[in-house]
Amino acid sequence: MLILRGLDVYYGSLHILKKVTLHVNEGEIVAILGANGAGKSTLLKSIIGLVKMASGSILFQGREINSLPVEKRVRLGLSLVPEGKGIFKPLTVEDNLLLGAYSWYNFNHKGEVKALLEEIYGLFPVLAEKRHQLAGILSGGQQQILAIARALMAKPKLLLLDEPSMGIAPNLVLEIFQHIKKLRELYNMSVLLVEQNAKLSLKISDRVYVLETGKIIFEGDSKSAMENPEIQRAYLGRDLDREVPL
Amino acid sequence: MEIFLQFFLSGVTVGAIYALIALGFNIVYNTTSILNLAQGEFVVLGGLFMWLFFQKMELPYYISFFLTLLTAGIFAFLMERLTIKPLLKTGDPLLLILITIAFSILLKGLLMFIFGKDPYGYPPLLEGMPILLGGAVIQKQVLVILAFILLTMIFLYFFFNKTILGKAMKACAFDQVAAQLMGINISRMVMLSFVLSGIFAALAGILITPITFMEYDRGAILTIKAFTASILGGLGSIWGAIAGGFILGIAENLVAGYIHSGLKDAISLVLLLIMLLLKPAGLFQKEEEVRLKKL
Ligand SMILES: Nc1ncnc2c1ncn2[C@@H]1O[C@H](COP(=O)(O)OP(=O)(O)OP(=O)(O)O)[C@@H](O)[C@H]1O
Ligand SMILES: [Mg+2]
Repeated sequence: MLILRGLDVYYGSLHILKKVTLHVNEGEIVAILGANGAGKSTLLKSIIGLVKMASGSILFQGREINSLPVEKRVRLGLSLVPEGKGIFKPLTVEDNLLLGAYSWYNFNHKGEVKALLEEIYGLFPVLAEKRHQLAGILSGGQQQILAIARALMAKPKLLLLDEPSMGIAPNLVLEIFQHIKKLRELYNMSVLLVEQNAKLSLKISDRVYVLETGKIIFEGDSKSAMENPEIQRAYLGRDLDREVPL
Repeated sequence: MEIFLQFFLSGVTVGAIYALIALGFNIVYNTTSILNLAQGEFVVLGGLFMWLFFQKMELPYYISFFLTLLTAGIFAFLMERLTIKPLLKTGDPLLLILITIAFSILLKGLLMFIFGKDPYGYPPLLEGMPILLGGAVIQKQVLVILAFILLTMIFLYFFFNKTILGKAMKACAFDQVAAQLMGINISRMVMLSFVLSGIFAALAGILITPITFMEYDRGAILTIKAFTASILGGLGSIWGAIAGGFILGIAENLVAGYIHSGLKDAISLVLLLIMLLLKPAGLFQKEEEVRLKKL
């Protein structure tokens, strides 16, 4: 579904992503772990086209999308929930959601948009409650939910999530991920996810990559990663050597 | 009292015109954060081309009307595609504003080349005796102008609040990156904003020319008036632009009537300075709202 080959990205002369190669299969949830500044957000931005890459190639559903502008990539079925959420604060919650469907919105699809909107309201009742209020007055967590819901309105084939758990209560995070899993089955959607919360992302993902200063240093399925002592030490906050057996 | 009413009504008339021009100003400002200082030239273009179609070629009023708006739309389209689009990526508002000034000079030259330096006029849409109201004289064209302002307001309300395209433009004004992530083509929105503003300006020109006549070099002063109106109402605010237009028009005519007619244009600059110094967010916008918009 998505294949990155030898992706190089620079900010000025800073080499941020170094020959990153990874793939996401149809219907798969893939997590990317990495410390602050590893280049995770940059990776997602280059997949959606917000950041220009110096070399490498991006294949989406067998098509090279390297040189396509952002809006065309969105139309092909990529959707990013960015780090800063990107909520349109002066617009209502409902208008934010409708704009999520902009890439396929037209007169013929009006009914479909309405139906999806109601479905989304069903999944996130808090948004239904505030549908006519300005998005700017939502709490930070509610805005994050809105950002995810808005991305789902695009009916993406591959959903890119940049730290979706940021600012959301842990029990709600779990709930959101359950919705995402459900939507993946409904729409056969794939997910590429960047998370600080390693435990959670390993739990819900099928496979994981670890990014360190712009390089992929680990790749494997999430179950085995959870058992991997290196990853446990670096990302799960457990130091096995120091753990005293009782 | 009668004379006050007369000054007041003249103020409302020009005020409506300023409001129309200021609207276009704000639509472009909202989507791009740049000021289109060629706005006044589009007013002139509207008046002169309307004369060409309606008076010279003797086409029916409505056909001339739509041809004129179409011409303005095409000019605005070309302006955006040829001068703004190639430079939009630089993201330098100052450069882009200078480009609009350059274009305004070009357009002025072109209009002079086509129409010469004479003033032009044509009969208004509604002819006949002016109406007397409490001792003041109202030309029927004034009613036409007010009707058009009302129509424009309804159109804009509908466009920005009920259509996905209008919402996309608002989204674009607030956060271009996030708008892109929705699949919105930013460049197309910018083009659309220029076309809309060009059309509104030309509409103002069509409406005002029967009252004041039009000549090739009236653009700059109209741009300044529209800018003042926008600042009065709060830059970027659609409804503020309309209110600001009326306030400026009325203030101008009262000052010109009661104090000295030579001060008519000066009052605009005075108001502009006062606003920029004391309340740059405009009369109606709160500073916090402006901040929310730009965050
Ligand atoms: N626009 C930019 N210009 C220059 N350098 C940048 C820019 N954006 C990010 N960087 C740098 O690129 C590196 C990677 O940034 P990125 O945002 O991708 O990290 P991240 O892995 O998402 O970190 P975090 O977990 O904190 O979100 C950082 O060192 C950052 O300072
Ligand atoms: Mg990041």
